[in-house]
Amino acid sequence: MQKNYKKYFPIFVLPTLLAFIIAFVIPFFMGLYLSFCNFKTIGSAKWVGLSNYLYVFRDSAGFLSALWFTVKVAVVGVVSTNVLAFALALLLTKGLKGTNVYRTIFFMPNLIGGIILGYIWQLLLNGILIRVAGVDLTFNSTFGYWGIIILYNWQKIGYLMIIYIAGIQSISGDILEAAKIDGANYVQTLKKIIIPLVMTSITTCTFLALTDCFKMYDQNLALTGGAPANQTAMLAMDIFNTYYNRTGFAGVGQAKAVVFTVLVLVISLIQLRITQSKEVE
Amino acid sequence: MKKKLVSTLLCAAMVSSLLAGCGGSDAPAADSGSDAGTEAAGDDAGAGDSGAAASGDYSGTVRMLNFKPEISDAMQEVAAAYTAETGIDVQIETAASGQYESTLTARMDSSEAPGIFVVENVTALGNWKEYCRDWSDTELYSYVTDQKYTMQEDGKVLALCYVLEGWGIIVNSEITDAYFASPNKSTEYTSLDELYTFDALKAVVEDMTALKDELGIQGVFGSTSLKQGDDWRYQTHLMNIPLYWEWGADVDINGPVPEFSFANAENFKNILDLYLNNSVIEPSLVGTRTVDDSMAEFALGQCAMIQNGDWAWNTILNTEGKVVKDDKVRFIPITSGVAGEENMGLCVGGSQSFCINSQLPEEDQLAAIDFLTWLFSSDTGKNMVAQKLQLVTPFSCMEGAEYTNPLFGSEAEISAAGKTAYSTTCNLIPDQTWKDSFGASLLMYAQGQKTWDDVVADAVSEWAVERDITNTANGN
Repeated sequence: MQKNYKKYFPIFVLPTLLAFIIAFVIPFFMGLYLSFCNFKTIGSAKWVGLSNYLYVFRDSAGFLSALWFTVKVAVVGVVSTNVLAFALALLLTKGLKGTNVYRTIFFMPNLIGGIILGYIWQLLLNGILIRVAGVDLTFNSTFGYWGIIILYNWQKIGYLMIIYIAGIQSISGDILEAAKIDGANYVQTLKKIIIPLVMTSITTCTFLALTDCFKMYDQNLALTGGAPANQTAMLAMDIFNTYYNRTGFAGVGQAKAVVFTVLVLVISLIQLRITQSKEVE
Repeated sequence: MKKKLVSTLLCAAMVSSLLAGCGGSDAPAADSGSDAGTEAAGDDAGAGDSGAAASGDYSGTVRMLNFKPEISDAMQEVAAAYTAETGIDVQIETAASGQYESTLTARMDSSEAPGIFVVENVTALGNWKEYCRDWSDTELYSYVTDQKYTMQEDGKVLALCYVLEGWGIIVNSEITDAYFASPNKSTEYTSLDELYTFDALKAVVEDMTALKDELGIQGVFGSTSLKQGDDWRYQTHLMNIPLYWEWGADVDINGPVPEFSFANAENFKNILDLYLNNSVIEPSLVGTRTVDDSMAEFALGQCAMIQNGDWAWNTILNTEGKVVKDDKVRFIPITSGVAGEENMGLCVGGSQSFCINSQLPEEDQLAAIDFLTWLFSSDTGKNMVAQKLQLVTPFSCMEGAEYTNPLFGSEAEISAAGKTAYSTTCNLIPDQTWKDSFGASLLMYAQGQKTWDDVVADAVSEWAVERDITNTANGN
């Protein structure tokens, strides 16, 4: 049997591998090369060494402030979406009436594109802010920050909830029943049985939320556009603006993108290590 | 059973979202193509002489990346008409507002690189120099009325200006006439022709604000749209005025970026404050408004004046429920309290130029040139340029074309009255980074979060940084 599978290995893997190489590996290494160049289009690249990278790490008003803002969004965003999604998943696996309808409703926002969500929430939040405070989202970066957090939660909770529901449903009823017979209360069951057993889902969900937060662009663009004065620009937006808004800065933008990729890679690897170590078989 | 249905629906929804994601990226391109193709069949072919006969059996596609979103629909009609006359496929894509450079960069690296592209100013030309074919031996170049409408380097004509644009303050004269006739007014001005100094404009505008209920308007000026991405009417077009006064009329608008001290900052503040304080909305809310919002206010008669250019006519014309009358739309110049401004007219200049992509095969380049020659010199093309695209061009072959845009008439009257036009000094603003940052500063000033002194200081210090970057990149 094993041998038969091995024989078909190229047929099944090669197309994907080829697509991966063409659409990811080659562009990645081209990008890496370009980050050391001064260029406008790929054909006109000139090697300039490390100067692009030196600029990136001195760019306190651009890259570094965007990085700090992104970290703030990621920390609160990852925790809040996961806690809320897990709470909803617990609620919707209790066999309440209308569970399926609610699951569908909570999942729906995830199907709407980020740009549209951004504009919808901009209207909603501006409507509230203008009535309550007489100002709009562009007034203060704190408004923009919480706007992004609210929008992100609204969009992502349903998606993560589905993953958690699958995890909770796969817990065998026998274990829960045994816990009950042993006299465990609900909090004990949750802490000692349910959470350890859905640890794989937690790994998946934190990974998804974390990489999502770091890569966020469309929601950011549509909701705040970086206003006021780029104080709410996240990493992806700062990279885009660097690339296009100054003459001769494509190389710096590319260098920022490389730093960004490495950063996301390292952070998600660390996160995977930590949560995986807590998983139980 | 019910469970199955719900999960099936969920699956379907997930899959459809994936598909929607894939479709999104290439939809605009496909759109422009099929439109052109299908409409062509219905159009009357063979009207007028065709300048494209020379291209003969060319079977490729002429691709163009259009700069002006306000004429994107009209460009599709032009493409269809050309295809109907010559059988040559024309695909015109339009870049979103403020996204031209990024869209062009992306397209240039693709296999569907445009044969015709646009550079906005000398900085943009610097980016694309190596992609520009020399225009000098073409028919279209021979029609150019003045060499200042071309961009040249080392004896090569790299770009041809194709549109002269004017901007100032657009006035709904029905409302101002009502004001001038009002018994309750407290100024002695009786006509728009007197509003050529800032003092006069300010007196009239403030008095109109006092009488806004009588005049049936919500504010004299439309919203000062300072939302990010919609702030160009101020960070670029209004900025033209202080730049002109600081550098004088002789500055080379195709040269390197000069130094800038914002000597006329007070004048800029004068006119900006007038806009902000006599507007349809509160100054604190200007961050929510787009240019389209403001133009709609004007078209719907909610305000009497708005700072914009002749290109805005299409937007006004196509606003649903438009109440402003075609023959009541006029220009007055932007004034800011500088001595001598009473002799000045509108800001007028060549604002965008066509380049032919020299990296394409020779036959594609020639086909692209043929298309543009047809557009500006054949009868069908000229009519479309004048009435659909509404472009005033610097080409002699376009003389005698009949325009329908009332703002062109107003522009002609102002220059016939002997007023000097402001040259487009805003072409020398170093880059988008400066514009965005200045726009953000203006927004914070309007919201009361930044003092005017800080706005000025930041504008000057950032100019120095961006000037250095741009001039270095352009080898100046």
